Amino acid sequence: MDNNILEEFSIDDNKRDRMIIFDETDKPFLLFYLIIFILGIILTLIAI
Amino acid sequence: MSIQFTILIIYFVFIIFLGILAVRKVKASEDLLVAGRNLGLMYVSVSIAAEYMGGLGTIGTAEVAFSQGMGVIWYHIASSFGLILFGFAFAHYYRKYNVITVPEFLYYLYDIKTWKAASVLNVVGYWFFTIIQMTALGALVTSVTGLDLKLSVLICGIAMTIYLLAAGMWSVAFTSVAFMLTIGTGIPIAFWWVMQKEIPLLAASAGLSGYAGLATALNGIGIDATALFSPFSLGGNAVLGYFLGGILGIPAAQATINYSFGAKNWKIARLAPVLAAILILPLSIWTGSMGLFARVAGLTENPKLALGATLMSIHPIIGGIGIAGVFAALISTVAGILFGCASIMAKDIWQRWLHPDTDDQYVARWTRIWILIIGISSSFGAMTLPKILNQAFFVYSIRGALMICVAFGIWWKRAHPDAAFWALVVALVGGIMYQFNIPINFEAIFKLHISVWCAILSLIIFVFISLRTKWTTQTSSELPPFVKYERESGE
Repeated sequence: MDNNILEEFSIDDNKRDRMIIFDETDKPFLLFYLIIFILGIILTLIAI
Repeated sequence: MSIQFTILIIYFVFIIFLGILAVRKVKASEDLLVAGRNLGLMYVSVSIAAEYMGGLGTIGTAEVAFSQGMGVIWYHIASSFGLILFGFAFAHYYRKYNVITVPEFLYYLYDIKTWKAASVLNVVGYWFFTIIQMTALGALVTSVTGLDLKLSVLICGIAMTIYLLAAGMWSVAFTSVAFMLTIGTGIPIAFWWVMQKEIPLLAASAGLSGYAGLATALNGIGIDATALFSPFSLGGNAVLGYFLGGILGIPAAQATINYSFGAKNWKIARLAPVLAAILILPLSIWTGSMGLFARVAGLTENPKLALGATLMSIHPIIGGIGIAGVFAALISTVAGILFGCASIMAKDIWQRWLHPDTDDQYVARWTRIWILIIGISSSFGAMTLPKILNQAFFVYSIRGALMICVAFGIWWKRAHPDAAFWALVVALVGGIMYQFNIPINFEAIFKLHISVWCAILSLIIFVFISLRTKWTTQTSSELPPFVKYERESGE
């Protein structure tokens, strides 16, 4: 329907300072994520 | 009071405490649901995963595995696939349009009547979904307390409604990380314990642990383990249904994808669902195996109680942690969908549609009223004890029509508003007729999974009407008052 949507990204949003994917505020949540992920894998492997 | 129940109570008090702290900390932010569209990658990932792991993914998958075996693992494989598809193909479009609800996005793609139809479909779907999740919550509490299942369902439903009214969505959303940590540690720890410590204790397992012990035990009591361990133990139709449900259901699942709407930027909105998909992938291996254990150990006759019965039968501390994990999964989802349903009802239907000249205070008041109405009515609805996973696919199926409209609206130039409107109406009516056998048993005649049925219906209607009707480009002058107001006021 709107073919310009992706083009518009480069106009509005695609500024380098606003396009950062990972920053300082993510660190604690990354820790949670890794704990859950690694624990899940290890427990599954040793359980089966 | 059992140790497991004590752990559950302590956990619930801890969550409420955390919620109160979170509310104090974020007083400046009025709109946590989209959090000023400032949510980081890992927060969005973990929150999506926590919201998605609800009663279906825990109690529901254990229920299916108990009766039909490990073919239920496709549920989370399909769900992960749906989340990845949403991330790569849809999330950035939603984020770009700064929408709060899926029906609102359909307005941008089509017109007002499509937005109205989508709002109604969403409310019906989520209302039904709330009933299912409350049933799962009641099943867990029955396992822990021994209360009558119907009574548990009613108590849990009313308690959730009061909790949501008192704590508010802000605190519930902020506790999603704590929920995910509990789910992601409690359930796999309980799974490991069952496989390594409990299975060898079964008389029929010959002292073996893991899946070898489970298979030996199943065969020992005369159940064919090979059939139950087969990844296709549910049959091809069910697997196809899971995939269609995941692919068609998730990209338009308001409560799940809501967090992506609040991402800092479209790149985060796109990547976070993919990271969430990795977290939810193994869940049905854990819950399904514990469901099978309940069967082989003869813990219950009721499949709904399989997971709870397993967790109550093992070491009380490990079982208590596992129950807290399942409880966290249920609370995070029930709260999300009950609030999502009430907010679409209050914001989209009640205010924007029926009372457009009212202010935000009016919406806030009516959101609470709708939480009360939907919560209490769902509590009584859940007392009919619907089959959890089976009924959930009814919701996924009618929601699939939303996804068809979104996908065609983005990528097909000829996609027409009339086509979108009628595809939604037909999917809703057709889905209800199919699910409740009105006036005939469609499944017996057509031999289709409900998600396939709804997808075919809405797809045919959509393509047919789009090909026969000319599209006129929507202009900004046709924007409804609420969009104009929100754009101009910067909301």
